[in-house]
Amino acid sequence: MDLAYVCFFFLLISVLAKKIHGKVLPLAGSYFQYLFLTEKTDDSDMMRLQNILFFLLFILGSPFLFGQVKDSVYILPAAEIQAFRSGGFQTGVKTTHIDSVVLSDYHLSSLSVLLNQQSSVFVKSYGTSYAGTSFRGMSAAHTGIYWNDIPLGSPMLGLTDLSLLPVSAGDYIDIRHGGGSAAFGSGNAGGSIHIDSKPEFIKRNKLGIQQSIGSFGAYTGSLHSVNGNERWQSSSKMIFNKSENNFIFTDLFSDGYPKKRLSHAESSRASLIQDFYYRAKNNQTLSLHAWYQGGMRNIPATMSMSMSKASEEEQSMRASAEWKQLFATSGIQLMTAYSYNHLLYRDPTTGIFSDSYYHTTFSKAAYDYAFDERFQLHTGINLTYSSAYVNEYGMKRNQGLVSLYASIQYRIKSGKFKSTLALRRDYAELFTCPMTPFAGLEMVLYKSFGWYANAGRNFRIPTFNDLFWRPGGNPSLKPENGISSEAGFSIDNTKSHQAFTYEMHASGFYSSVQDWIIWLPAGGMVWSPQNMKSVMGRGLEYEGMLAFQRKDFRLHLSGSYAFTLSDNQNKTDLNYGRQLIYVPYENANASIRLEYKGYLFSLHESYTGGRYVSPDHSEILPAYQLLNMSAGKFFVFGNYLLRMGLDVNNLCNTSYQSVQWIPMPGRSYGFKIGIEFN
Amino acid sequence: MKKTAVKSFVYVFLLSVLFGACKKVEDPQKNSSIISSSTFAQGVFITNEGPFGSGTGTVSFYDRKLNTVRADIFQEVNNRPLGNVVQSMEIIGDKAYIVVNNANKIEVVNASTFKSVGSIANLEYPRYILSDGKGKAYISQWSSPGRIAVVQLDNLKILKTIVVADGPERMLLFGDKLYVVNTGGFGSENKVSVINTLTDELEQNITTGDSPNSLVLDANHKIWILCGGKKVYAGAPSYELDTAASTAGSLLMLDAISGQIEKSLSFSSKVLFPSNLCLNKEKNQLFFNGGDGVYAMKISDAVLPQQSIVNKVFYSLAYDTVSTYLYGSDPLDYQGKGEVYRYNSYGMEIDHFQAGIIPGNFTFR
Repeated sequence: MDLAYVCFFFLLISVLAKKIHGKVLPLAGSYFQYLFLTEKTDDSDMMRLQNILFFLLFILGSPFLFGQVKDSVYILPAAEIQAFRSGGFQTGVKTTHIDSVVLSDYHLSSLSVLLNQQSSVFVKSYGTSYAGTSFRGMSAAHTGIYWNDIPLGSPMLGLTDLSLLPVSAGDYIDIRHGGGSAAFGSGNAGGSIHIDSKPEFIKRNKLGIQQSIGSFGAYTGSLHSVNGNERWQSSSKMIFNKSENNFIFTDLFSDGYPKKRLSHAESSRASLIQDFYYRAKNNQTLSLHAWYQGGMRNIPATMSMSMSKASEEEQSMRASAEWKQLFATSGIQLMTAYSYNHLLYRDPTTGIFSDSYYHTTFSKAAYDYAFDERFQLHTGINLTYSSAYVNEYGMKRNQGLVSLYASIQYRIKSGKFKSTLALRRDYAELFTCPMTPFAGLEMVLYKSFGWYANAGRNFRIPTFNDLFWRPGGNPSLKPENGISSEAGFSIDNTKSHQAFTYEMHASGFYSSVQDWIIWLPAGGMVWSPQNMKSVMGRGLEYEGMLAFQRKDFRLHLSGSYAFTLSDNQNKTDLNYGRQLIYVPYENANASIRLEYKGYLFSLHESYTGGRYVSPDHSEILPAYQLLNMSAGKFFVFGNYLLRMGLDVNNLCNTSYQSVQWIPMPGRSYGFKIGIEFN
Repeated sequence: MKKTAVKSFVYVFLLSVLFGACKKVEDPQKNSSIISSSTFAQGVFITNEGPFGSGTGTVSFYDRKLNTVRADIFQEVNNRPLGNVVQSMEIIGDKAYIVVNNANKIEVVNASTFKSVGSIANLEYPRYILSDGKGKAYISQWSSPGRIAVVQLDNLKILKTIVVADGPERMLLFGDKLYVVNTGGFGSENKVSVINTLTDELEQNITTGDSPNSLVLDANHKIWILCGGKKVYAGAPSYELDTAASTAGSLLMLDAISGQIEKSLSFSSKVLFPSNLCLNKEKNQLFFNGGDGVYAMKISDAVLPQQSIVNKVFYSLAYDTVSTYLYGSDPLDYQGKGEVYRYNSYGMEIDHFQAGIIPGNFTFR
């Protein structure tokens, strides 16, 4: 039955791929052409081999070939207060949990690098500057990014720059796919990313130093200490990085495509992160988090421009205090957080000097209650107050938001069935937000095999720029609203503690957004935002992981694939029915990681499909594949752990564009060394 | 058993990576279409600005006889894109000079084949180029402050730069005098600069209405200068156009010989923002576009026209003295390919065709 399902799934993708978009979808289409059809394709043999590599990994990533492995029935843990998992009950929602083992490989990287290599989400990277991510055919503004529950998105732009967020800002990262306004509020129509820290409350004093030097003048240094016992824990991190980013790129705008060295792309940044936890005897926990970050970067010219003198300086501060009290069948959580961001942008050639800042305070009170083993309630209120200033607003602008929410979960005793109903309503001064309901369910069908589904409403409030920017800002905008739904199958034995563990999710999704805010020309040279766009997204996603562990041998294989259609649904628009720009039809990842007696080797390959760059589809950016390699060794001397490693990014020195005409680096090397003292 | 299965998979994986991982980058396809020395000998070149942000502009070519449009001819011939914001193009002798604003360069091509023959680099936001007919050319630049670069055409070397006022735009040559309208660039300005082309020195700045944007020389040696007027936006909470602080556009007539403003006509509407002043073949009728359509006016008329001849708003407007048609560009949504409409002098539509993204200026040959 399982095998039949997988065959069906691949068949579905390839048929869709071939039928709907022919050449735009070389990846899924060519698996079947290569493997099952004798039909000749235009692809070179090398391309075919690459495709086999992917296919192999999908097969490996799926547990079906190892059907003989004894399945264990995975039983959900017995009723317990969920300790305020942020957003309430996430039943029937696909969540990618980035393994701590994988996370440690990216300790010195930014979140954009991690997501690009380890998830099926599309990362739109402007090279050395901004990187944003979009899920399921939505835009970067529809992706919520949270650090210990603090929303990181700018209220001015509605975006978060992933290239500024160090992976080590948290202890684990969850990628939540699909609409989540009922759980997290405005702006989560595509999905959300949660960077969280977690106390261990074990007696330890750990000190770690890691450094890496790499191509193009890159240097990263980090210092990490964890101290604590059963009562308290303190974790301090310092991360510093700088880079010349003077890589060589192919200039497509000059005769003969000469190689040029990127200039004016230097960056440097320092982060200080402090977490403190205290657990009192009567089940009370106090958590304090603080994160300061400051840095600068020069913004290089795109290939289509000849030079740039633009630069930006950014400073940000986030801090939160949270108190939790757990009783036998209930719990209270109080949290307050503050975030500040200051951005200074200057461009001496145009004389543009933009000095902007925002402050956001975020407070939360939540209450959890378990009626019995089956019914649990999560309810709460959030207060968000943001104020922002930039010269173009004319004055300091403020926006307050009150959010009320409740969710209830029902599950049967064996844990084989769970369902959740949730409701949220946000209140704002300037506009009316819709009620956002959510329903989700999960069911175990056979051993570790189950299915899940969810549906909900989403909304996104206009940003300060949309409302107040002069000229053009439109204070009469209303929030975007839409729905999202998903249904899928999963196989998961990762909690069975067997030598072989595997996890697989295959799902189909549908989402739509009405009143999508888009800036349109409004006479003369003035652009103004309007609730004009309407978008429908749908597609298929697959993620598979297989791990094998025996003594000091560990093998980890994973693969992901996403097929996304995201159409403009506004019938009055010239581009009605067309795929949105920068939404690749296909996205895929495959990686292998081997560990043996302290040696470590990993390979990772990612595929990004062709993307339209103009809404009328007159311009398209070609698909590209990137291969990265990493090798390392660790040594243990008493209480010391020494790690050394070499990373080779873009091993094939592929010349590609993530965003049109933005130079991207070719092959680069990084050598890292770290020492940990326990 | 299991272990060997895993091992063999790993080996196959590694082998396939080694064999298949890096594919050779294929050489970009050479275009096989035939371009002869007469391909672009006669016709209309449309400079398309290209998408906002970092996109590239293009040049489309319209063949009047064949009634065909060739898109992106620079890329087609030279196998590379032009650069960010293609502002304008000027044909001087047998060469065409394509002004690429944000790329700070002018691409020089053979005007008949469009084959690249050189470029003028290190400019600062160039807008237009105009020849003095004696081997030199003047390039208006939105640098801060605005400057006119003087370039030697045979070696494309910049001889000097002349500071004018903010946002120098279109230029006009009369005798030894170069007239430059200064629109204000990113701000506001109200001056026409006069440069002596013998000494390449600024002679004077003539004060005009706000935002002069285009100028033409009529049959009577009068220079007509169209001023768009100043746009001021109100503060909170409306941010709409502040009509009290904004100024209306105006049309000035300057005697090219004496340098005196002889006529000044003010528009009554503050939301018209007239632009793209152009002239018919006989140089006795003016055309321009406003916020609500295309207007026509005889040079002998004492008042400004009240009624538009075409009720369509164009981004750019020009008059082709070969076909004696008006060309208007419509960028549609400013993101996809735009369109070009053709009208006769009475405002009757002849036809329309597709151009590139944000069609901005026309060069007739």
